[in-house]
Amino acid sequence: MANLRCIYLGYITDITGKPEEDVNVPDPATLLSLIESLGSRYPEFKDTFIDPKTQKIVASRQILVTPGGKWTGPPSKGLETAVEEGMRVLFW
Amino acid sequence: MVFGWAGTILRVNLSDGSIRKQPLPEDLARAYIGGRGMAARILYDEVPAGADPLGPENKFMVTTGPLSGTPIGCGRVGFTGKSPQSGLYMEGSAGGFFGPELHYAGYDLIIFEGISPKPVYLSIFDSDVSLNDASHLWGKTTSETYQGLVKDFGDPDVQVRSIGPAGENLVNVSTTIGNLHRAGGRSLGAVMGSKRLKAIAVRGTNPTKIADAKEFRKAMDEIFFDLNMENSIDPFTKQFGIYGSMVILRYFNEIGGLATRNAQQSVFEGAEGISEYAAKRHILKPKACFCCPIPSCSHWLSIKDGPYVGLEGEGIQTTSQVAFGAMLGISSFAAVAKAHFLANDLGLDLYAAIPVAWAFEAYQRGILTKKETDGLDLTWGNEEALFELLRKIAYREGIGDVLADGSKKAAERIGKGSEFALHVKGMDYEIIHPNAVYTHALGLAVNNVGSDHTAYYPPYPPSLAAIPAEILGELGFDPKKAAGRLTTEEKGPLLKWSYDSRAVLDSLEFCLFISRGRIYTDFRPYVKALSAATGIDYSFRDLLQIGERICNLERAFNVREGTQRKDDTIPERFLKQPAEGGSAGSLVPLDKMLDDYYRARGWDLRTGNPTRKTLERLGLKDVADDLEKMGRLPIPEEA
Repeated sequence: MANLRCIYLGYITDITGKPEEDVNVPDPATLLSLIESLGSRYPEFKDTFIDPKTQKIVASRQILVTPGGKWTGPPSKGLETAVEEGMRVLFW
Repeated sequence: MVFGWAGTILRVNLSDGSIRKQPLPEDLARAYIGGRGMAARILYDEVPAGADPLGPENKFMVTTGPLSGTPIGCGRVGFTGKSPQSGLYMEGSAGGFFGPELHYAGYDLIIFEGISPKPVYLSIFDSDVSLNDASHLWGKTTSETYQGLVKDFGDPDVQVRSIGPAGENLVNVSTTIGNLHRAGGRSLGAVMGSKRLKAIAVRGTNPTKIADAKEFRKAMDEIFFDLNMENSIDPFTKQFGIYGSMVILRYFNEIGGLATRNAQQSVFEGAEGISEYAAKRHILKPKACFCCPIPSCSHWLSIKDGPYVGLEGEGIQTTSQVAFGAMLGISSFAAVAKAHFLANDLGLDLYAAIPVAWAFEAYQRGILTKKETDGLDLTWGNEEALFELLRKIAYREGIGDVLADGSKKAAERIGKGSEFALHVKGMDYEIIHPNAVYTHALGLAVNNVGSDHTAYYPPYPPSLAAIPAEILGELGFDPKKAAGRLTTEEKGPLLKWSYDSRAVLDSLEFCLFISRGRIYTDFRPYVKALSAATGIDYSFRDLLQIGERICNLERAFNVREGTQRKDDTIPERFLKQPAEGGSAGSLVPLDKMLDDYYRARGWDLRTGNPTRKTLERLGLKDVADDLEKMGRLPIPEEA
C-alpha cells in the first residue's frame, strides 16, 4: 500500500472538487492503478487521463511525479511507472 | 503596401501639435514585419544615445502588425519607448481590442514625439485625427478617463489607452491601461505622462486587406486546429483556455519556484488561497481578446464574499497572484484581486508590488520603521498596507515617493537594502524563482527590457512530442538535450531561438499565450498566414532572421547606452540563495549559460555585445558602424 499526495490543477479540480488529497494505492502501485483508483471516485477521471483506444496517457494531459523527492518530467514508463510511498503526483 | 499593412504611420508632435500621416516605408515593413520590429528600428534611429526618457527626445510608439484585425488571433497592440526606470530599451504589449481598431482606422503605428504644453488626448476616427484638450481628464483614474472618453466620443465601442495618476506623476512603475483593465508597456505610463499625453481614443471602420483570402483561411484553420482545446497536444491549451495562467501558480509552488516574501522563500504555504481553485467561485464570466480562439484566458470577476464583496474587474493572471500574493505573504485571492484592480485604476504596473515587497522586507529587517512608512505596519500579509502603499506610490506621497521608481532606486535612496532589491537592469524582478527553472534564469539575465518573461515565453523548453520531425533542423537547438528544467545543456541556443521567434510573434501582434503545442515551434502556419495576408513570400528562415535582427537591434540600443555582460545578470539573492521545495538546493550556474547564449548569438563573450560580423549578417551594417564610432563594437579575436 502506497500513500500518495495527489495535486489537481485547473479543470481537473472541476472533476475532483478539491485541489489535492491523499490517496492510498494497493501494491504493486503504478500510475495506472492510481488513476483507476481515482476513476472509481470520480467518474470522468479515468477517461480524462487514459486514452481508451491506445490505453496510454492522453497526449494533451500531463502527469508529473516526484521519484526521490524531486519533480521530473513526464514519467518515462507511462502508466506502468511505479509510484512510491510519499510521492507527490500532479495531474493537469 | 496594398495588403496586410495599413500603409500609414501617424506622427504626432506634441510640442507643436502637428499631426503628419507618412507612408509606411516598404523596406521597413519587409525587414521588420510590424509592431515591435518596426518600432525597434524607429527608436534606434530617432532616439539618440543618452536621451532623457522623460524629455522631448524620447518617443513613445503604439504599434500594430500586418495581421492586426484579421480573425486569426492578432488582437494585440504594442508599446515601445526608452524606459525611465532602466534608461534602456522598453517594449511591451497588451490584449483587448485597441490594436485591431487602430489598424481599422488605417495606421500601422503612432509615433508620439516632443512634449505638449498642456494635457491632451489623441482622438482617431479613421482619417479624422485630432489632439484635444484633456484638462478635464488630468488627475483622473484610468476608469474615470475611459468613461469620460466614451462620453466625449458618444460611442461605447471606442477603444481607449490611458494613463492614471501614476503616469501623470512620472512614477517609473507605471504603465498604460486599455479601457479598464488591459495593462501594457512597463514604465511607459511615465513617458506618456512626461509628454502630457493622457489618452488615445480610436475607432476604425476599414477592414484589413488580405492578398489571398483562400490561402489565409487555410493558414487560419491550421492554427485554430492546433489551438482547439480538444485537439491540442499541449496540456496548457485547455488549462489556459479555462483558467488562464492562474492555473500555473500551484505548479510553480510544487517545484519550489514561487517567489515568496520578496523571494526569501520559494514555496508559499498560502498558495492555495490565491490559486485558480480559490478564484473559481468569484468568476462571473469568461473574457477573451479580439477574435481569440481560446475562450476564457481572462475572466470577469465578482468577489462573492468577505471584506471586498461586490468588487468587480478583469484580468487576474499569475503575475498578480505572485506579485500581490506570495511576494507579500498575502494568501487571499480577493485581496489580490483588489490590489490588481486598484493598480489598473491608478495606472500602476503590476510589478509595482516588487518595491512594495522590498519595503516589507526592509521593515522586517528594521531598515524601515513606522517613522519612515508614514505609520504603516508593513508586516507580511498586511493587505491594507499594500493598498495604501499602491495609492501612495501613484501619488508620490511620503514613502510612496521612495518606492515609485522601483526597488533598485528605493534602496539607493534609503542607502540600505540593495542586496534584496530584486531587479534586472533596474526593472523590477519577475515572478518565477530563477533557481527553479534555468531557462527562466538565463532568459531574465539577457533580457533587453530588463525583466520580462514574455520576451522568451514560455519560460520552459518545448515538449518534444509537439515538434514535427521535419522542422527540427530549423530550430538551432536540440530539444531533447534542452528539456531539463535544472540543466544547462542547450539552454543558450534554446533561448536564442525563443527570443528570436517571440520577436516575430510580437511583430505580427500575435498573442504569445496561444503560441502553443505544435505552433510553439512550427512557424509554417504563420509563414503561410503572413505571406497570404501581405502577398509577399516569406520563408520559415526569413521570419527567424527577422526575429534575430530585431533582438540584435534592441540589444544595440542598450549597448549604445553602455550595457555590457556585467548587466546580464539576475538579482544577487538568486545567485547566493538556493531554491527550496521541489528544487531544493538548486543554484543556477549563470555564467556558463551566458557563454553558451553569446556563442549561439555570435556575440562577444567578454562584453556580451553583438559583433560586426553578426550585425552585418543581419543587414545592420549601419548599427555596427555606430557602435564602432562609440568604441562599443567588440574587437574581433583575430585582430
